[in-house]
Amino acid sequence: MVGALTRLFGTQHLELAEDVVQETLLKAMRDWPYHGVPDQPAAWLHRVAKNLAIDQLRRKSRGVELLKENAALLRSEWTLSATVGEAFAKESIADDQLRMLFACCHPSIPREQQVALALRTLCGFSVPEIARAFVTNEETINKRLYRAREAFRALGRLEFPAGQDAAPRLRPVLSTIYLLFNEGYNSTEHQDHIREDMIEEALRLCDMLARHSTTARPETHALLALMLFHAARSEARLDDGGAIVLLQDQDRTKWDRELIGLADRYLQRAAHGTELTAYHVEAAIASVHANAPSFTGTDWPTIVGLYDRLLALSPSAIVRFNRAIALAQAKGAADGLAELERVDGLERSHLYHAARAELLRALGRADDAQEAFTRAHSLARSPKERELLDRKNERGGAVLDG
Amino acid sequence: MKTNTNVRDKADIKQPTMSKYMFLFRGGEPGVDPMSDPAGFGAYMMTWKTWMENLAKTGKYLGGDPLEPGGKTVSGKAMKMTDGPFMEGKEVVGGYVIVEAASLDEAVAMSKGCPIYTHDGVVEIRAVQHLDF
Repeated sequence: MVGALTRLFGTQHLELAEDVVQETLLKAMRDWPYHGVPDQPAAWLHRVAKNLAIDQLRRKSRGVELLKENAALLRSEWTLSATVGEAFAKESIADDQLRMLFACCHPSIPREQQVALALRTLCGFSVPEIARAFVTNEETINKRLYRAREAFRALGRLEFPAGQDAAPRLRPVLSTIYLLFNEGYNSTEHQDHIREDMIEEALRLCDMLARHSTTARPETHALLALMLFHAARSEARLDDGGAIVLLQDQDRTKWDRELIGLADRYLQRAAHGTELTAYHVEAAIASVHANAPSFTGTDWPTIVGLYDRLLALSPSAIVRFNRAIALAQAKGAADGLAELERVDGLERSHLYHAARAELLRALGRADDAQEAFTRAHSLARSPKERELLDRKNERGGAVLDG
Repeated sequence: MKTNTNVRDKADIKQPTMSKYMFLFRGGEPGVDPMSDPAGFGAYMMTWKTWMENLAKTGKYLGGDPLEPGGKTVSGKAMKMTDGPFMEGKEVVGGYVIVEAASLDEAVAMSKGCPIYTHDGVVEIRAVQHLDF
């Protein structure tokens, strides 16, 4: 609804749009307990929001500067109601969400502000919820939102990039969605519903892009496949206490086969076209894991090959690190260690030293292994991370995090 | 014989000045009751919206509103008041729109597609007078 209203009013009136939606929800909270939830709650909300929007425009439209193309229609009683009503039509609501997504992910808005703005306006998260999701305080989020809104207001109208513009504009949108997903997937700091909500919202937004003809591009399908592969394993990835279970220890019967099948189909669809993105390769790696019968029965040589391609596309220390781990599985600890020691830039990462410790131990170098482990322990940032290291040390398991 | 148009003459060629024109709508009952058939009335109003949206796209639509029936007529120094309706239904002004056009002909052309024509109504098109004195 915020999307529909923002398209009507223009981005400079985001607050006006949010006020209307908030008032609508307040009205629902007041009315529904007395009169019961209406048969079609969404239609009810849209009707109330539409009427409130019309009221607002009647009262304020002379004073506020509206978008040029809508101003005349919103100022005349001939067309006011019909114009607002049309914006609330079902099919345009979905389009407006996408327009809003593109606006929130506009290159002029810094990345972390984009995510905060998308969570607030598109996913309906409250400021305290966003603060919890980012493990920070409300003041920081409010500041971030304030700055994001300033930039958002300057955009003017909500647009849907078309033609040549579509692909480059899609890139930051996808990476914001992936960031949103990872915030939910990787954080071990909070165990409440926000984690799942963030994962779900990331999937929902990406699914929306996959359903729209302009944005249903190979990279969209690849990202959706990648996130679905991860989401399929999320149940098995945490134990009852909320601690991370390593890939090799995960109960593979808990993996969601239906989601894996869906992810495989999206990955196939992603293969259309000529462009190979990092999402494609990452999804392919996730697919090999998801379809492997067991950790040891995984096709490690294929995974090493995929990491080679990923390195060519987006070289980073993390990718080289993961490649070394896969190589250790494919060719043995000695090759893995040699490769691992060629990785630069992860000296401060506890995972890097934990991986070294394991490979050293596998090679019978117990003293070196203990030293690397102690280093990993001292670099771990949270009790949860240290706990995971201790468990690994007891059993000498692999470090791959599912 | 003068063979070339001189530059000064060219500069004097004036762009056609835009004038304001008012469309007065008379009659043209929608034929649907907003109370008993809100969806049908909404559909009828959408036809107005479509027409005006096209006008707005040309940048020449300046505004306008529909009018409630009834009202008062006030006349004379004594401000004698009578209640509406004052005329036959067909003659009641139901609303107005103001547009910008280069000529009366253009204004008439702009009224094309107005839903009132399919509802047995009339559009009176009048130029807004320039009072230069």
